[in-house]
Amino acid sequence: MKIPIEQMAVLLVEDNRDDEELALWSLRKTGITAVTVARDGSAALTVLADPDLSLPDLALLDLRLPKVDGVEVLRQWREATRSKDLKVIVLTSSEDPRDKKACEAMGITAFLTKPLSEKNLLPYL
Amino acid sequence: VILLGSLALTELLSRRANITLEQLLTITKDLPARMASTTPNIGWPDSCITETNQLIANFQVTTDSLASQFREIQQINEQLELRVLERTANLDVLNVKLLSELANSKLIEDELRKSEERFRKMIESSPNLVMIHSAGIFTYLNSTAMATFGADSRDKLLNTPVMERVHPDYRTLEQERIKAISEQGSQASTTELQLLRLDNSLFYASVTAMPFEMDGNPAVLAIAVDTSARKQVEKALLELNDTLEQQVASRTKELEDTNKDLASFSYSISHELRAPIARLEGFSRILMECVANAETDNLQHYAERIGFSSRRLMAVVDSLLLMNRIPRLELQRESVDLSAMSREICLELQEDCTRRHFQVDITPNMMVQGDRTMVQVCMQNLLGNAFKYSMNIANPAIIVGVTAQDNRLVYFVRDNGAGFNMAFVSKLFQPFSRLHNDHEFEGNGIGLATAQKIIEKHGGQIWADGSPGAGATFFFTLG
Repeated sequence: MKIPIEQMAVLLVEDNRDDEELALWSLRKTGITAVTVARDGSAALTVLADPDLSLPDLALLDLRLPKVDGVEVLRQWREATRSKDLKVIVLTSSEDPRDKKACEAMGITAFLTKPLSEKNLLPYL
Repeated sequence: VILLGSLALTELLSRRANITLEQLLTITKDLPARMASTTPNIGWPDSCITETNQLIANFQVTTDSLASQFREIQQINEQLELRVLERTANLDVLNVKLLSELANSKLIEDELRKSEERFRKMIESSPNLVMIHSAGIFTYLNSTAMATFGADSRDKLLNTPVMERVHPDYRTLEQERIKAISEQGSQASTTELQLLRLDNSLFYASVTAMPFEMDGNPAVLAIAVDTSARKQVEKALLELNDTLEQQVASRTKELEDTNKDLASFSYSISHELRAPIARLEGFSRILMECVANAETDNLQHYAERIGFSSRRLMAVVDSLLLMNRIPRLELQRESVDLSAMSREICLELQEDCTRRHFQVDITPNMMVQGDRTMVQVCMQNLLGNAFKYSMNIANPAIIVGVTAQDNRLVYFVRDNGAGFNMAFVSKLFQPFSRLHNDHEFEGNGIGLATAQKIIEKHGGQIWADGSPGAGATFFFTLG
């Protein structure tokens, strides 16, 4: 079942306020408004582990995060039954090929470098 | 008268008879000598008395016969003497010959003895073990063999079984080899053995054995080299090789780790630089869109964010340059008043943060030996953190002090701010690693890494203690 873009619920995992603002701006440009923000790795894990909260349709995941880094967040998401098939787009300033390789091995929709723009996000929605 | 005449006649007759007898007496006195002469000239007397003449005639015949026999004997004697002379001459020649032969054989014997001495000396002074054994029993051992086996006299080894000196593990093989050599006349062969000294300690030897003969009996000549020292060197070399290989392996591992660290570090730098650049790009794009759409509401905000990211970028570049410069900087130690320096830094930090009053307590007269500029940077980072992480609480208090620990002075900077979870303490000093997000506390994750490099440059140590919500303390020594 394909969900219209405007109705998509997105989890944005981002610790930097400016990057959050930029990501929200680009999401809004695509029509997405239902965005939850997790500001560090452990918050990202808590949000998805909570059975009272509905699962987002897409997660935008930064990799350099306080407490638990993005690669580890992704690993734990994939281990949990609830989030093992979650659509994840990694959004980062990192150019480390090891990060990209590790993320791709765990199944991601895209590995995008910042800043996020409507143009490079749309193909994956 | 008749009487007188008869007396006188008798006298006369008797005298005449006497004269003849006296003559005969004279003649026969030296008769044997004269008979020996080749031409005996004897004047036999005449007597008036028939009987006397008969007697003289008898003498004459006997004398002639004796003379003839004497001459024969003399001739035989002369012949014998000649033969004795001849024989003596022969024997003299033979004697000379014999004497010369005797002298010759003495020379040869001397030579033989000398030669044997030479060989014995060579064998005795050989640095190799030389042994002869027959029927499994030692019959000869040179000094080196004695010394190597640890025997102080020959009796301890002579006539003892060879196999007692061979390590049990090698006995079967060695027995077979000896059998092959002594019974089947096999060629010389060399083998590595473990031999036993008299105290049963062990040594390695390379033993060459070959067929030999001793007093007409088959024997084995064994020449051995004590290879214990060589074995030890080999063992030491092998150990050294192992150690070297281990060192190479561990060094390779270290280098690989360093390489990984360097790769991680360069990706971290790249990330730290790209992040503000991406923000500059993002906000400029939004700004342009706003301008294009004539949306003026947030222009100032976006311009501010662009300014902020530019400054952030500059700060990152400056911090990186500083952090990377520290290991190459020359340390210039001098007396630094840590108390005064801390007070100045705290005053500046208090001026920058007007919304909160910080209670600052600094132990006076803390003098350290350090590089003033570097210690200044280190204290700026530690105190900067203390102010930053405690500015959100009601009564922020900062303490700079010193304590004695394990016979060394340990300085510390303590705050009662946000603190941190000790589970992440190892991440504290890693460049770009942050325990708080940018929303809560801004930072680039370089401050503590820089402080650590400065402390290490001084030969000191830095560590931290803290708990979430209960503040943090950073301890350091200065070498």
